[in-house]
Amino acid sequence: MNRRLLGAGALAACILPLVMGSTAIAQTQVAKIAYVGPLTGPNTAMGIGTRNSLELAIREANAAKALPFTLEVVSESDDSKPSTGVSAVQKLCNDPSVVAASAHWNSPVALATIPYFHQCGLLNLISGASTDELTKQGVAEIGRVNTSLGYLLPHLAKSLVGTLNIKSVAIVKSRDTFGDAGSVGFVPEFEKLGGKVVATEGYNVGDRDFTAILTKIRALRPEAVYLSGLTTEAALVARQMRQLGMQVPLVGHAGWQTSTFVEAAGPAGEGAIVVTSLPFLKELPGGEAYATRYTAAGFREPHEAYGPFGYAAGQVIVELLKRNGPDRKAIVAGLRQLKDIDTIFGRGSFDASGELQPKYVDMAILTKGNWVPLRK
Amino acid sequence: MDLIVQQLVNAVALCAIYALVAMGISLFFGVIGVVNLAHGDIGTVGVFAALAVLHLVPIDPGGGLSTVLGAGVALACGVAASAVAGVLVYVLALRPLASAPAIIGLLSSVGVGFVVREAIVNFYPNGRNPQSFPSLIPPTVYEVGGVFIDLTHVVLVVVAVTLVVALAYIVEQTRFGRATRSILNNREVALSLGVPVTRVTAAIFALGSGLAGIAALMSALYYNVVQSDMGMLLTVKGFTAAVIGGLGNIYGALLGAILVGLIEAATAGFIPDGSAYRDVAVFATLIAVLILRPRGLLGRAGAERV
Amino acid sequence: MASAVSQQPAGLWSRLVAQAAVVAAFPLAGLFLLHAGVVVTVAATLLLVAAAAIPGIRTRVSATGRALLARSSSFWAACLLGAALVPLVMGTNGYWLFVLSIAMVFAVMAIGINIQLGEIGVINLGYAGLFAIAAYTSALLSLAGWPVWAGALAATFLCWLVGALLGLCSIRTSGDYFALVTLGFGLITHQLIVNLGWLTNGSNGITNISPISLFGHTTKNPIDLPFLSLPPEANGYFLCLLILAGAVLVARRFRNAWVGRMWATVRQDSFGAACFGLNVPMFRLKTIALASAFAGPSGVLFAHLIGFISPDDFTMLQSIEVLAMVILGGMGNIAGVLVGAIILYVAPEKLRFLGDYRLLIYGLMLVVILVYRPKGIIPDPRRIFDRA
Repeated sequence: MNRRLLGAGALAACILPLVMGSTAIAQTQVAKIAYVGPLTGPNTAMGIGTRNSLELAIREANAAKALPFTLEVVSESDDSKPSTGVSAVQKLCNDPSVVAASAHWNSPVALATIPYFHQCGLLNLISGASTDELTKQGVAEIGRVNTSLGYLLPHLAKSLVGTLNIKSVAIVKSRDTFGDAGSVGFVPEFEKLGGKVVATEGYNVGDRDFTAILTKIRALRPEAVYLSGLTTEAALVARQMRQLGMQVPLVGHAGWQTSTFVEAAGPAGEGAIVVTSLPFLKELPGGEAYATRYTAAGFREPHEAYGPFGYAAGQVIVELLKRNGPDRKAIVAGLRQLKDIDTIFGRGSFDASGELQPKYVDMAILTKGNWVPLRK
Repeated sequence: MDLIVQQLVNAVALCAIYALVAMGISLFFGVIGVVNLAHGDIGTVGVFAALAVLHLVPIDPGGGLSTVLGAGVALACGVAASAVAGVLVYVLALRPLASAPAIIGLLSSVGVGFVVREAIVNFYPNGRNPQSFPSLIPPTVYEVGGVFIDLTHVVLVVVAVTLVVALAYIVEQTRFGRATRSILNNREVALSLGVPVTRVTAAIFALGSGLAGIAALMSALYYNVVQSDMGMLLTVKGFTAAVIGGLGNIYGALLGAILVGLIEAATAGFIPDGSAYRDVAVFATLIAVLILRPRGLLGRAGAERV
Repeated sequence: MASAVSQQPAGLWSRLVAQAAVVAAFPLAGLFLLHAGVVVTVAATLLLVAAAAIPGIRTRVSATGRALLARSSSFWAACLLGAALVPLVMGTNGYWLFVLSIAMVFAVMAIGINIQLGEIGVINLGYAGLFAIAAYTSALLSLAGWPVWAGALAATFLCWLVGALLGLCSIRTSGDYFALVTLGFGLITHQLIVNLGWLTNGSNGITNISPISLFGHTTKNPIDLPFLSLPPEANGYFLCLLILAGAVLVARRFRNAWVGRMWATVRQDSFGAACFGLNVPMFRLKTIALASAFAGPSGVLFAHLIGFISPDDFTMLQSIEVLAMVILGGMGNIAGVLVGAIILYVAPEKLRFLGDYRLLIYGLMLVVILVYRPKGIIPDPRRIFDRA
């Protein structure tokens, strides 16, 4: 027995140097920028598109030698789940070479990780999650480049009542922060303008059968169905609405304004209307150039609607690094000092709650398989 | 009134789908005593196989004979793919564990489920996202006094009923069915009487998995959206239905499925904000049945076990 | 094989070397986790797989293992010492300490399941439900102002109670059907957590759960000793180690006493046990209740160390994962169960570089290991003669 153990000890003694040897990482100056988002799970298209766009901005900064050190993008998937997001953020927090992050596309996940970003003083420049609460908590580490629901929903209400003459709506929302935010921000605005909400029905993310809910709604004859949720369920609801003979339009916001929706909903998706935070690339100062560069960079996946936000986040972070150096605290402090930042959206500034201003809002409609601006 | 009828009509489609899954699960459990939690995922294999055929083989959307043939071929491929996958799973992951406690087989099937789902996610183009499944059944909607009945509903029910009858016939009247019943009754005696148990079990797996494939395809045709993890829901619900009805008894599976579908529709349709408690209601029924009638509604009462 | 049975004279020197090797193994493993890059990890994994597959090596390793376990108490003491030394090699990086802490939390649950499954053969497919009850109870109570230890007691008691209720069901239903009841229980608990939003905050989860504090020192403060500074995660690590040690102690005490022998009897022949006068259903109920209580400390630690819980942490997937830890590690064998827990929790973290293929490989690994070694990595030595 002792022979075996001595042998085991000898083996250990041989492995140890091997292990130690592999620890010698080249000590070049590399600053890492993290992307945490839905790289796996049901909203992958959004996550990958945004991540690729962030990567594009960083690559361009490296190529232009904008900084005295190299930048690298590290990405972790939050799987659209709060618990996975928390564990991913903790991992990044513990890596000292990560200096800034752009995290989360799903609002519930973004909400869950706020305490962790705060604890390790790491910047989270949100490029996708859109509930207002995220920047209203007064946490210095949180900023946002995309438009939040607080700007989108009043515009949607105005368009529905004013432009489209839709005065009664049934709400189908997902039972989480995101679904709630879409409904809670919309209803008062809609009713202020004289609209009426005839029903509010909730579903759990992952449900596939909405026929029961829709049958209830159909009996109440609303002029539109407002879906506050994400792509998969929106596509299923669109299809089941048509199956039940409901011809009214499906309205919502950019949460399901994806190419996946177009494909999954098929002909049932025609005529869907969303309020979008993204002006079509033709209308952005840097839009078309970005699209060309994105394609030229050879990414396999399309940039999707939130890609430009990922790109803008990259641009902002690079600028922060230029002005404040690769230091987490300095970057966090520097965010709200940025009053003259140039991004793909043009010139902008960050306000006291960390939001990039000005915000863009528009309406889009799905016509012949494409999302196009709604113009009357 | 027509609200109730509409909800019932909605429920019927669910019942049909669950019934096919539940019957397969019941068969498997009766025959090898192992719960196969990858059952739904094997069905998903069939769906994606059919989807692949539909994409690769251009089908004339004209609506004539060639379209029907094309659709038929794709669906047949899907069912065949499921059957083959099922036999493979049996041979590779379940049969080697025949002499181990049942829990090991269950875990093994869980592992298989992971492998299937992740394989689809990683190796099927765009496998991560929900895919649209072409409407092979024309979306004709009949309105009967305020109640909308989709042609798909009708097809689902017809298919399910036909399959149940066919399965019943096979199990009751054919030689294969007799072999199945003998194995269900007492495996060792069947072995000693010369029943080719392994081959029959493999055939049962092919049959049950084919049923799962048909169930998944029906779900695909009904919702027109498919996802790599659509099998999990089918497995859980189908399993619940099978247990409520009594594992090992295909008529029980049918009864269980009807019950589960009705409970779901009733909870979602008539209780305010009920769709949240849909699943709770189903599982609570499961527990209640298990406590009150431990063998399931139609299960055979066994000898008292300590 | 023979050396386990034949007694070699184990001198003091060789015993000391053995213990020292055991103690040293832990910090070494910690270093491996911390520093080993992709290449080394893959190489190590392949080495391990090869070692497991080649019968010659495998027999020698299991013989060594059995010899070590023969001197049980000192072996466990050496393990404890070794584990306590791990934070010292981690420097300032607390991430792996965090991962190991949570792995230990799962290990405590695995020990609980081992009592149910390994000892008396009761299958529990809904253990995550108990875990959830403990975590949410503790989180909600601490948010309401209760001190953590009070919440922990409440959580453990609640788990014990629910376990007793489940045990009550087991009187009516047997074997496989009881497994289904537990499955239903797990699923219902998950659904209730999602839907009772007023209580549990539904799918959004409960965030900002207070860290555990003792005399003002919380689990978020780094440990600053005069000669050494440990990252904050070390607090959680030591706490979990303590709880795990306690769980192992409790489990071993029960097992080595008459209760353990009754377990073995019930597992092998419940009719016989009944004929000899044991009230088998009540005994089973009490065992299930005891086993369920182990979820209490686990849930509490999980909630307070991560600071965030949501329904996604308590799905059937987690139930299956804990079961897998027990089965892969070796049913009935506490050491095996611990090994299973650590490997199954830590490996996916170390293998994160596999990215999208992680779960695929996890599934494959599960099937392959089960098919080739259904008795687990370290099977219970007392079961060599068990009927399969």
